[in-house]
Amino acid sequence: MITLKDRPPTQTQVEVSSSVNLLSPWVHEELRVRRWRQRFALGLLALVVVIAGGWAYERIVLAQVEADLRGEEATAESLQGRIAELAPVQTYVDGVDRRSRAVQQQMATDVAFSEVLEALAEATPGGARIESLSVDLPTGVGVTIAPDGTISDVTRGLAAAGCPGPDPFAVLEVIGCVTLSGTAADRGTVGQLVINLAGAKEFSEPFITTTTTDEGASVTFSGSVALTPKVFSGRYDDRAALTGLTDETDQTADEDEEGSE
Amino acid sequence: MNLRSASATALIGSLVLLLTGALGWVLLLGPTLAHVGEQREAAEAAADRSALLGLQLSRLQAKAEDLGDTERAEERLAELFPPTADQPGFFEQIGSIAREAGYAPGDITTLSPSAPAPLAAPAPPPSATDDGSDAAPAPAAVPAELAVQTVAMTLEGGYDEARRMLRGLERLDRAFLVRSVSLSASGDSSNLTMSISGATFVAPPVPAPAPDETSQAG
Repeated sequence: MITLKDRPPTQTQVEVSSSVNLLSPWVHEELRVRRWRQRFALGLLALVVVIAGGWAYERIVLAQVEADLRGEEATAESLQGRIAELAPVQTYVDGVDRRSRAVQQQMATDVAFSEVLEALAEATPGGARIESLSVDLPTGVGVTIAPDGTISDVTRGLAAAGCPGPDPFAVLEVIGCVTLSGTAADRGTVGQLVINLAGAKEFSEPFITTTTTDEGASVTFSGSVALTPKVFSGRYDDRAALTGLTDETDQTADEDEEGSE
Repeated sequence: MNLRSASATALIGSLVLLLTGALGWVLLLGPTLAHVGEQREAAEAAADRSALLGLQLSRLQAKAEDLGDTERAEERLAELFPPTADQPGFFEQIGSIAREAGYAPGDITTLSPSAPAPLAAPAPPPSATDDGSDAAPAPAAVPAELAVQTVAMTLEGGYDEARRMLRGLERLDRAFLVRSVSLSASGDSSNLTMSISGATFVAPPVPAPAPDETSQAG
């Protein structure tokens, strides 16, 4: 039989694995509540610090932005003052620009009548003579001119009324009607005149309304021919060439006007 | 529910944290952030406006420093549309081109310019008042910036002279807008009577800025 004395010393220690907690459950609950409160208090403090820090940072940013705004406003005010000092220059440039537009507007329908007479002389065959002609264009015609100075309306507001033509169904772009009369050796010569007029770029729709003979000597004729837009002189179309000012200057004036609005 | 229990404490604590965070955002951070955004946008708009004004100023300064081109353009335009009818100058110009066309002084049988008549811009219509009782007085008409002068002339000469005369009118320093031309034979001779009617324009001069007004360009 082995007794306790016979056991080696390492086998004599007895481990106690269980313990007795004498605190009541209420105390344990109270301790847990305290720990939660401490944690929340720390969290609340951290949250307040974060909010206060963020707010302080935004106030600093706000102060900087407000300073920038005041600076920009002061700059704009200063620039406006200097622009106001130079207002007479702008008024002068605008006035010159307005006058150049007025010239272009009023003279847009300028017709090179010398070229009309020259073309008519070239179209008149030998044996024929123009004894009278008349052309009358309307005044005060409104022409639409684009801001860049281009004119898209081919006839520029001039519309020939009452100019008879051989083709009643043709839609032609004509700007005026020349009535003419003269004498020719025979009707064949009058026909050649019609052919020549139809072939000239300045004319369109030649039409003879009367041919009479006087005791067989010669033929007296009268008729009309329309003028095409080719007879516009175009002298006043290019404002830059007219004034010596570049288009860039004109555009700048336009932009300045828009900006001031 | 026991408010002193751990679960209740956790719940209440969480609510307090949430409430504090929400109040901090609503009362402090949110409004400040919004204000910062507004001020930043205003500052950017002001910066853009300053840049535009700076551009305008630089262009104006460039114009003020070199008004020569504009003044030359104004001189050229004043030749086309002179400030007055300037009848002596006009008669001289017509006589000169008629001579160059081959007409003798006596061949200009008629030269009749009318008095310049302003091309008035239409006045704006009178505006009614808010209560509709009495219409406000009509604003004054916009001052005319242009006047038209009709010119009629009759010349006796040949076909070539007529053509050269018309070419001279087309190249006249003063703008001359020919509106009607008629040619008719004079009896059995080769002479033609040419009647021309047209218009010239008169425009008031554009006042140039005083030198001290342009010297502020720098």
